[in-house]
Amino acid sequence: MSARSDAIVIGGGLNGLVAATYLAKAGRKVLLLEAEEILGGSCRASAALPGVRASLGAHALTALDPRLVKDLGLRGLKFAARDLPTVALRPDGHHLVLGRDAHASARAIAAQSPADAETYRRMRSEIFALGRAMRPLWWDGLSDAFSDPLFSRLKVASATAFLSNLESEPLKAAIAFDAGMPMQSGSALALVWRAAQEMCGLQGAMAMPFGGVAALADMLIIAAQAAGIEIRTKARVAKILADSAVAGVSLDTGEEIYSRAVLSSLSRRETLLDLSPTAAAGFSETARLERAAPLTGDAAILFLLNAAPDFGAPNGRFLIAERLDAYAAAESIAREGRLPDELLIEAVVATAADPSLAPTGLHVLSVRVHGLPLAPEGGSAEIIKRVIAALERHTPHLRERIIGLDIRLPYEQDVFSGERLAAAYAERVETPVEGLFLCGTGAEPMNAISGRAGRLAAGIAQAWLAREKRA
Amino acid sequence: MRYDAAIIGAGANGLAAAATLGQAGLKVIVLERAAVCGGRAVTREFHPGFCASPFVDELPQIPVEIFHALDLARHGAVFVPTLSSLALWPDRKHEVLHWTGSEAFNRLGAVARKRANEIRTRALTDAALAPERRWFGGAPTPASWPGEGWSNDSLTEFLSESLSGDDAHMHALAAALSGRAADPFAVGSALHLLTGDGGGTVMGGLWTLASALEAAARAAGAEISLGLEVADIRLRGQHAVGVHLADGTQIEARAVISTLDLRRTFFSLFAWKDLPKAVEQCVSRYRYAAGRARLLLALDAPPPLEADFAQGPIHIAADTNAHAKAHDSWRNGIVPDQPPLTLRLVSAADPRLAPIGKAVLTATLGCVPHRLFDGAWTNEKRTALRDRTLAQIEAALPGVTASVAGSELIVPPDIEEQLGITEGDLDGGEIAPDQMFSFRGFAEHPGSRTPIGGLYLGGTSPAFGTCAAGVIAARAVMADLK
Repeated sequence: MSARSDAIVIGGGLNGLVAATYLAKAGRKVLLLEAEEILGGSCRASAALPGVRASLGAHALTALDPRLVKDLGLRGLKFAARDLPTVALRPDGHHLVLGRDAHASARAIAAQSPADAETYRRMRSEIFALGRAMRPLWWDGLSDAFSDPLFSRLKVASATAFLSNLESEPLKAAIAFDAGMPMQSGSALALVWRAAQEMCGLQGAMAMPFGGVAALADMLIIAAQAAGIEIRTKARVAKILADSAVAGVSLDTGEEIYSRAVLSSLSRRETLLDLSPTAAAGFSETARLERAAPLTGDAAILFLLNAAPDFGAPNGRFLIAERLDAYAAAESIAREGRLPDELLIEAVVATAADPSLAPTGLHVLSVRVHGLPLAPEGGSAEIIKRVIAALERHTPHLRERIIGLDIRLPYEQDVFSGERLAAAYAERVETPVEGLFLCGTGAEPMNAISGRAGRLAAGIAQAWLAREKRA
Repeated sequence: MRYDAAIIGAGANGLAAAATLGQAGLKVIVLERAAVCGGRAVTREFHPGFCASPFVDELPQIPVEIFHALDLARHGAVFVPTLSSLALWPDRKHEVLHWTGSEAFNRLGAVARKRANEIRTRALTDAALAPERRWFGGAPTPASWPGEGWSNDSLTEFLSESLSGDDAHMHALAAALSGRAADPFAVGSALHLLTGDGGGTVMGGLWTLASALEAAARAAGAEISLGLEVADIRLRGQHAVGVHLADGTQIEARAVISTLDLRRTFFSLFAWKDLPKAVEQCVSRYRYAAGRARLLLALDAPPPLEADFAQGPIHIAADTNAHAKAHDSWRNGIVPDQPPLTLRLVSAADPRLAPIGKAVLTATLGCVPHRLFDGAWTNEKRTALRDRTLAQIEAALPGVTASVAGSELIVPPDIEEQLGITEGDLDGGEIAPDQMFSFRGFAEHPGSRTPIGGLYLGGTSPAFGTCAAGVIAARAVMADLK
């Protein structure tokens, strides 16, 4: 048994590292427990493809917290691509390129629907303005900083309804990709959330760091070590010890470690249902979490290719989603455990921006498939088959070029809701168990690599520790 | 001719609005395009000797205060409360399970009714206030509505939370979604519970209610013009100053209440060029989710049902997934294989609807699309739907179809055409979190007010109950004309 620490952080992914580092910098004694052998969580480079630095967790960054870069001194973070345009792929080759230049995007849209060009421009500036206004809530967790009738409407509006003034289906489908489940109420706010984010000083951009997302994880590990955190890998937490307040954790080896606070970077469901003692969260909350079981998730695939794929469009973030209806169809099919007929795919040629991500001469195509059942019929083999077929419609001869791949099946994440997105950070970070906080995916308003949940959870936990000491 | 208020549409809402304004001493005219008053509150003979209300069997409850204020009982509206709600499980081989109002089910109904009551009270009080002068910085965020919390719940989730037992769950689900098209898994679908159950059947059919309302309006001094459609609303600047009738008559009015739905009001009563862009966008963004079809059956012999159970609605229970599947087909413009079905032996509660010894059975189907993926509603498609529904009825009540003497099928386009309701959606818009409460109509113009000055919306609004939307609009008019 090691000496009692102030806080235990469960999970050495991005948010876990950030939370631990902030707490350590505030003078706390922190123990970081990671179940795997290496740190980095979903940010670390694929293990199945030696020499490849791309990661399955994310192919690019859309929401990295700018404060993190400043506070933790991540000056080494350089970007290979600062602003990847969105390219909605069409089977006829008339791809729709939506980039930073509003006029160029409008021209591209006007080729299909002149009315949409104007509507898109207005909608985009509206969303961007609202996004900027919402930053106090989403960046600093200040919930009372914003109140607007439009906001209360978007909180319950679906992206489908929000986009209904547009007429071109491919355009709607492309915008809706950021909304997660665009027919769900509250998903309109997800579009605003995306627009509130900033990468490299550009609002709503998608950027690729040199060395991939794994480089960011590496820098955070260095920062964490420099801050003097005790790190234990291959330490899988089996249970959180708590009765009225949290007492510590027990590992699957049976070892018990005590601390005053525990920060979990797992989802709310996993933390409160699987790790905590039965009904520690209270009966109604437990029942609510049990009912809110997610049925669908995203799968990620990395293809290692021996020749660059050709999408017939400038490099960008390629989307395969032709109709808005496809999202609803995919959702209802996925609910039955089957793979949707029309897969919704986001693909990035990671090596086009940064060739160092793969051994010389090889290329990495990073793919995310949206809205798949958690346990699909046919398993990963079927998903891979279907994804390759879908991609080959846009980039021929892909199959012959594949020399290796790695896949991450859809996994459980907390279900999206407009209410959760509009809530203050504190509501997502705090749990009914005294001293237990969420600092990772469970505390983020949306699934994205941002590190904000870690930073704000550390602040909340720190305030709690200071208060407890006095008491 | 100059009036204080012109009311478009002589349905329950229009007549109630007219009576309310008339009682306040205002000079009112009601303009109805049909030859009779009533709107959806009609009863007609669909087969010689057999009558039924073609669109609905029962209207949502008329709020008590309105019922008394308009003195409807004296004008002839006598309500028979609906006491039972029955669920049938046709797929259970050895028994047909009757299940009526378990305690939890009734408690849920009571909660929903209470919520709806609070919502209505709030809407009625809000309407009586003159709009606040708005300072820069936009309208204040409205205080939350009672029942707004249901915006975050799906119907399935909410029901499994409040009811134990799958049977009660399925019964409540069928009751909430009867005649509608909704995905019970969707967030916010719990709002369907607010639409509440019926306010009881009216002796002599819904038509009697219409004539009672008409009598109340006339007694209050309102003028009713029948048979002439309103062609458009006259505007001066951004202010409504009267209406044009189809025959060219001009009617001047200080306020205009439209009881048509949002899209119909703005897109059929205004020239497109007159509408501000923002209004046009808001209106075209509004969604409708019509899914109601009706099959009226004249029966030579009453079906073998126990008298206690026969009076209320009989829901053919289906599980959540079946509802979700039906909604899926609806979304794609396909008539589901097993549309959600509610039967009602209307002649049991009101024997005057059928000749002695015979019966009238109505079937309400949900998730029947307004627009089919393969074109119009042809005769073959209607026949196919009728046959399929009869087979479903036969499975639930064996032997009934043999006694069918005549029938009439009504699909959403029929409702649209006969009642002038967009897509035939009797709820006046999809029941979704972003279309309820403050978001019904125009968020910036709370209640029944619109961006066009002097124009008020008094059309159907779920959760308000019959007549209430009209009275709410009337109160807003009174507050503003003061």
